[in-house]
Amino acid sequence: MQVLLVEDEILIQKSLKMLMEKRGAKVTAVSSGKDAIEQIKFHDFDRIVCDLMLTDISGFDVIEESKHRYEKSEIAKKFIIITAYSSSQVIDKANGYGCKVLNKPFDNINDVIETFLTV
Amino acid sequence: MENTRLHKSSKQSLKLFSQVSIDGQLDHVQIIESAKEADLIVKSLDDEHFSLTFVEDANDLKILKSNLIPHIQRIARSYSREKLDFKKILKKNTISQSQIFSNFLELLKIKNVLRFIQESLSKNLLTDVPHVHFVFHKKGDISASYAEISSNNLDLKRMSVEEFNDVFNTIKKAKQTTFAESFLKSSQINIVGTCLAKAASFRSHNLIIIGTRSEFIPYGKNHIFDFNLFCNINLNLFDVILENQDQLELTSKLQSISDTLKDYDLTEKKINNEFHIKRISLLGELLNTLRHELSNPLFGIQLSASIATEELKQPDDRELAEQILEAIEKCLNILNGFSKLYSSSDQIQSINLLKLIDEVFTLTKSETKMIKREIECEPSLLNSKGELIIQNNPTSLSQIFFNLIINSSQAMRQLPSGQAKIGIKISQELTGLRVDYMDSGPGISVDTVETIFDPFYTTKQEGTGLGLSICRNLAQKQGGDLWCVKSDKGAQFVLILAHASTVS
Repeated sequence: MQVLLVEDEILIQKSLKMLMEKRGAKVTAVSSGKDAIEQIKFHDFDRIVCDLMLTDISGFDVIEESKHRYEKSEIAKKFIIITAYSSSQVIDKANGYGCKVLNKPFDNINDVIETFLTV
Repeated sequence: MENTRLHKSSKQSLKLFSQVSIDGQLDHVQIIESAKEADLIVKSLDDEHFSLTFVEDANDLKILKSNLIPHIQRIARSYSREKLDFKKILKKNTISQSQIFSNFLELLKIKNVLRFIQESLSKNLLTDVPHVHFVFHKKGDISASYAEISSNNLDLKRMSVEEFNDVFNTIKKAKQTTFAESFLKSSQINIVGTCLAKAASFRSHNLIIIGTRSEFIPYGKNHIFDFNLFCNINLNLFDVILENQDQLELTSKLQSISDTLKDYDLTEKKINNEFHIKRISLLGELLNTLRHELSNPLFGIQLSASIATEELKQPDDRELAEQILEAIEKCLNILNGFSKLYSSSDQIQSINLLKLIDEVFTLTKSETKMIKREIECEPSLLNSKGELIIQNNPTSLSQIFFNLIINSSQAMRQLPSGQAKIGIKISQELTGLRVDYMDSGPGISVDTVETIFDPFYTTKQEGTGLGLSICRNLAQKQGGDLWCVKSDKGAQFVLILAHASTVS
């Protein structure tokens, strides 16, 4: 399973990558929105786990860019948004794309990894 | 108005006796041959002046010869309206009796003695005589108070006691009620035309009442009767008022001061609340940013440390990683605690009260680490997990406990180690949950158990005096209450928390 992990907090990124790889996933990890868009352009991923507040652009911008490659229904299935700011506007917007939103810090890390790796 | 009155009232002619011949037509005048029955006598004074004498009150008027006919005509017209109407007088008398009673009732709520007199005058006397001079002298004072009263004006001045006595004695000795302006001409009393006057001596005051229409036309029997009636009926009232003037004005001043204070208190409470809300929401915003900025990297540390804990084989390394995890847990708790303390949300939530109190102790650790804690809870209130779940606002509760605990720890700073103690006892009461809070500090003196809740009351050099006042507001806003218990062993507070079901 091919996973793209977009997370700028390096410890979170490394930990999630490790935990997913332990379960056999192939994880590409990037820290910026720009790198994420680049990856999405040239590779096909089964799952894209994307932080919302990136240093350059927002996770929603990454989703908008990936519209060149994926259909709406594919975006809803592929993308999972992880965020520390879960205001109602954020949740409404995520619902507009039809994708899942998970709040950091996660209550149960194992359940979250399970969610990431279930397509 | 004048006309209707003229036509309605029964007419009466003025009986005129004149030493000089009167030419021309005069209405309402009957020229008679004898001075005995006359109402008005005309005499020649000198080459230019006549004198007019009103028999009834022995009042003399000096007028220019050329003015005689118009003057007599005005007097006669006025006289013809004034025929005594006994029915009217009786009615006025009864009205005045009930008036006294209502006057006394009003006396109880007066703001100013002279205003009150003005009001009572304008209901009666001022309709007939639009200007009343009310002069009173407190025996022994060096001057008299002089109020010139009309229905829409009240002028105050002082009058020398000599002058007062002059006027007073003149009026007192005179048999009549009406006076020409000349008799008062020398004094400060500023009167135009004839006037009605009365002088009365009370226990501690002398009083002069002078009424005038500012006209030269003499007063008819009706006016004189009404004036006398008014004076006689109200003299007792004036006696009481003047006698008790100081107390009355003091009482009304106290009343108005306490009214003002009430207003002030309300405004102050409002300002405090607004200030408090502003401060809390600003701090809340700052802390919210701080929490988000810190919790993300903290989460990263937590995740990687927990992975490391599982990977590490050496017990020492494992222990170290576990300690890192514990430290992170603590950080996250403090962040949560602070954001609870300064959240602007009014939301009622399910809260574990015991955990909340524990969190507040954690937040105040720098102040409370030397203080022994005893927290007791009625076992029936706990659920199977040992939690005490209530419906309340976590921010309000955290702030109340935060304030109480900080106050206690500051008060107990001087105690020898091991003696500082905070006790919290939670029990069920009819009105809600009762939290008895006590410390082992020097306590609160019996006479300040209420004052400590007053805004800006503080015993600390750097205190704002707002803490407890805000706490009480917060408790009451949730339908509960907070008060201080008189005690000789440390400070004791009772906090009542209403359950969510009793809160709308």
